[in-house]
Amino acid sequence: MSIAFDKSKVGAYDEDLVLVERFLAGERLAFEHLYAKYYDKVFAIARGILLDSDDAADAVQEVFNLVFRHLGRFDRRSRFSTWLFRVAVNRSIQESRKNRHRNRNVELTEASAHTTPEEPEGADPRVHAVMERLAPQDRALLTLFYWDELNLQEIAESVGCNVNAAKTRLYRARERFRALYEQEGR
Amino acid sequence: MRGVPPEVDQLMWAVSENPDPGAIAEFGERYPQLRAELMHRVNMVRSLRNEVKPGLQRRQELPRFQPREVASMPNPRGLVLAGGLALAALAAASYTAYSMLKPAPHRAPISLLPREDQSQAPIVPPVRYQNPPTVSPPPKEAIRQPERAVEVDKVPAYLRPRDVAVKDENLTTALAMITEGTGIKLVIGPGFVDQKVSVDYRSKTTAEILKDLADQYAFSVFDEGNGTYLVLPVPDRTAPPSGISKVDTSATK
Repeated sequence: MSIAFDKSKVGAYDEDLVLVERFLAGERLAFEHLYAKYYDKVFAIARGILLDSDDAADAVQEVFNLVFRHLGRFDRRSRFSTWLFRVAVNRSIQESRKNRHRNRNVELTEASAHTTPEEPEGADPRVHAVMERLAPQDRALLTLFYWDELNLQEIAESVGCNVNAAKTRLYRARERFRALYEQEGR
Repeated sequence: MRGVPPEVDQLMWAVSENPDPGAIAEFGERYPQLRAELMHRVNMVRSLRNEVKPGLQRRQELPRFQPREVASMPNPRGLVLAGGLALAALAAASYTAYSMLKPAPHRAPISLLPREDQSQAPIVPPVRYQNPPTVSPPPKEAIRQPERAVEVDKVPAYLRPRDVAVKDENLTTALAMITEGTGIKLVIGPGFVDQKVSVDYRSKTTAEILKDLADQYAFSVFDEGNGTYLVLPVPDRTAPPSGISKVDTSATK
């Protein structure tokens, strides 16, 4: 984690809180600001867990709708961003479980048609394959750590545990990823 | 990883996630046997970061946020209750329709005439009575008459002809055997003199038998109502042809 990243978080704290207060006071535009500011981050979390851009886009809309309706429940004990990430992680894991059942049914009929997983150009195909085999909770931790580059404290708040538990979970997720990655390489 | 101390494993992960060339070289010098594993992890972490990160970027411009109106969902418990009631109503309607459409069951006509075997009086062992002697109706098990015949037969039991044969028994015992199965309860009045009797009646009603016995042994039978008959040791000169007088309760009121 870079120092500049942490400073930007600290600087954003007050701004987010102000936007939250303005939205709760009735200013709809304040929520639009929060939406624009965190869309990419929330999309990254959803995409990392769901492994599909379309599903991730739908999940992001769902997450912001939840936040829009329930922002009054935000208790200000944590930063708005980590509260938002927590909603995003939980919602994405929930969607991932639903999609897993849906995909099992689709596999039987579309196994031959769906042969090209969504991958960026020049990417290591093994990573996508391994991520698909991991549990959504492990994908969430790896996404938050490697792709969203959150520190352990932020990860702990985002998944709803303490720092030590987050560290242990991250270690195990990383080990599982490594084991599967080596299997894919053989 | 197996065979690698945890602290070295942690260090290897830390170097892999921050692949500084100096740190990689230093680790390789300290743990040359783990150099290949370190490079493997460095490449894996790099792949992990690089592979998906470009894919994480949204492919179009920021979509417009459209807050969705939450449709008010009906209470699931209410739905279950309504469903249960609907099912119950459907079941009741089906049963009613089925019952109305089903043809009435065929029943054989019921004979109102008493059968031969029903007119036979059962043989009951003699009963010894203490003073004052009272006669109670015999147990129901002793009277073997089909229930259906009892329901349809409107003729009083004491008016049905029957056969009674008693040999060398006390008069009270004979009276008990005569009235059993007829619904008559005999109450023997004070001063009644018991004696040995032998009777043999064929196709006689209970009333006729009682009248005949009353004439022979000088006693009277009075109907007190509710199926109770009082036997008094005096001859009744005003007895009706049936042999059983009605007790006149109007004088006592």
